[in-house]
Amino acid sequence: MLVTLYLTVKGTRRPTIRKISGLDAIQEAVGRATEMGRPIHFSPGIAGLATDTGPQTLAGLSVLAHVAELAARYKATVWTTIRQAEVQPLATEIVRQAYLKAGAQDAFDPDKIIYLSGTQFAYASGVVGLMHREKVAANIMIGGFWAESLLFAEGGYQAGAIQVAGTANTAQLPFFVAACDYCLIGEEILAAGAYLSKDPVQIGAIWGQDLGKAITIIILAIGIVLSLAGNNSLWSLLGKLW
Amino acid sequence: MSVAIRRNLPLVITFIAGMLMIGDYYIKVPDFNKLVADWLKFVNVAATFAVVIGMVTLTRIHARRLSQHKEGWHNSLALIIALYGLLITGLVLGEGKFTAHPTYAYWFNNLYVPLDSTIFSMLAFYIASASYRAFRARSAEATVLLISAVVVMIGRAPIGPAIWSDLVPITSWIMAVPNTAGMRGIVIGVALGVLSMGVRVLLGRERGYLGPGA
Repeated sequence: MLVTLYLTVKGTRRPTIRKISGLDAIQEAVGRATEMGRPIHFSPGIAGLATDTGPQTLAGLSVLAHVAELAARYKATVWTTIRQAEVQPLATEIVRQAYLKAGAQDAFDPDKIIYLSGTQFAYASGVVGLMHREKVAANIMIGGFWAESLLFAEGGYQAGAIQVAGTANTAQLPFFVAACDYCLIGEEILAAGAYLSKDPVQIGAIWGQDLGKAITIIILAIGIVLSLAGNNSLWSLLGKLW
Repeated sequence: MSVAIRRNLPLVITFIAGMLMIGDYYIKVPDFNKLVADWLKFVNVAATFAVVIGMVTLTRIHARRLSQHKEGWHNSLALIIALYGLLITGLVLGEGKFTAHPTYAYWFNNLYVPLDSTIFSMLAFYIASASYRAFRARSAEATVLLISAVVVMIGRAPIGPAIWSDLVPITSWIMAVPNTAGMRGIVIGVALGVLSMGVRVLLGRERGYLGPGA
């Protein structure tokens, strides 16, 4: 991964990554909300920053930066709902920066970034209520989600919103796949920041990540063959390393 | 504060904090480990202060709805009364022990707990409606989803083995082989994605979380 980063910084390699339709659909969702004159709802998930699921929240905030910038440019309203209190100042600053970058700082309203509750289902009821009251036209959910995922997805569907969702929590992915128009699966949300920034160095890191996946698949294949032959040496070696 | 400092200071703090956490895993020096433990306490304290910011925002929004008599203002009134009523009861009357105070415990057990369970139980109906939409056999993928879901649902219910005893091993095979293989593929991808993102964040290349143009 570090090698691919080095190569892209040096300009030796210009990597490209495949299209991620869920991220491309965000512009469509914001455009739809603008045309309908209805707001957008964004949730960065319910994971805290100082946990092992924190990267999912950071990924969600990277997408929020993109959504807020598009909304500021199109003069659409974005409601950002927060469950973890420490995420709120970060989200507020991101949206403020987005409006500033779009030259629409007067349209920035800090009350649209709303901390609802630190409790999972109180937050969920707040989000569903907001989606119904405000009649959101687009519902974008990127981050760590648990049991509330389907409440949000069905709430958004009932409000008639186009829905883009993504999480790395495998148990919640089927709900998003079933109920949303576009779904980012697992690692796709973690690549969102790099994908949306179009920064070649960041994309280089994604390329390194894919290389890591290829190496993992090769190790898996060798492990399967060796295990079938009754040889557990690879298994023992990996056990010692980790 | 200059633009350069505003842009670079968060990246420097992120790098130092990240390296401290990594160092704590590999370096076993008591003074250093204590420093990291203290740093983690500081993070918790900072996060707790953020709750106050959240409460202020929430209060401001609902106080405005109340003063302007906007539609649903009575819900805002209920929120403010519940928020500050229970806060004062638990913090002041309950001396910070919250549920130890009988009034707080009464409202917590008879209002909050049933409401929480109600919201959770709504999932059952939402699962049904989402499944209905997802399982309509409009494509080859949706048909596979429909067949496997029906087999697993019936196989896991007591009526399944009563209809056909082989449903149980078929269900177990679906869950243990194709389902686990798919899930593990995603989990490996996520693990590598987190690693890649961690490297980008530590090196200051991933800046999306600091806002556009950071």
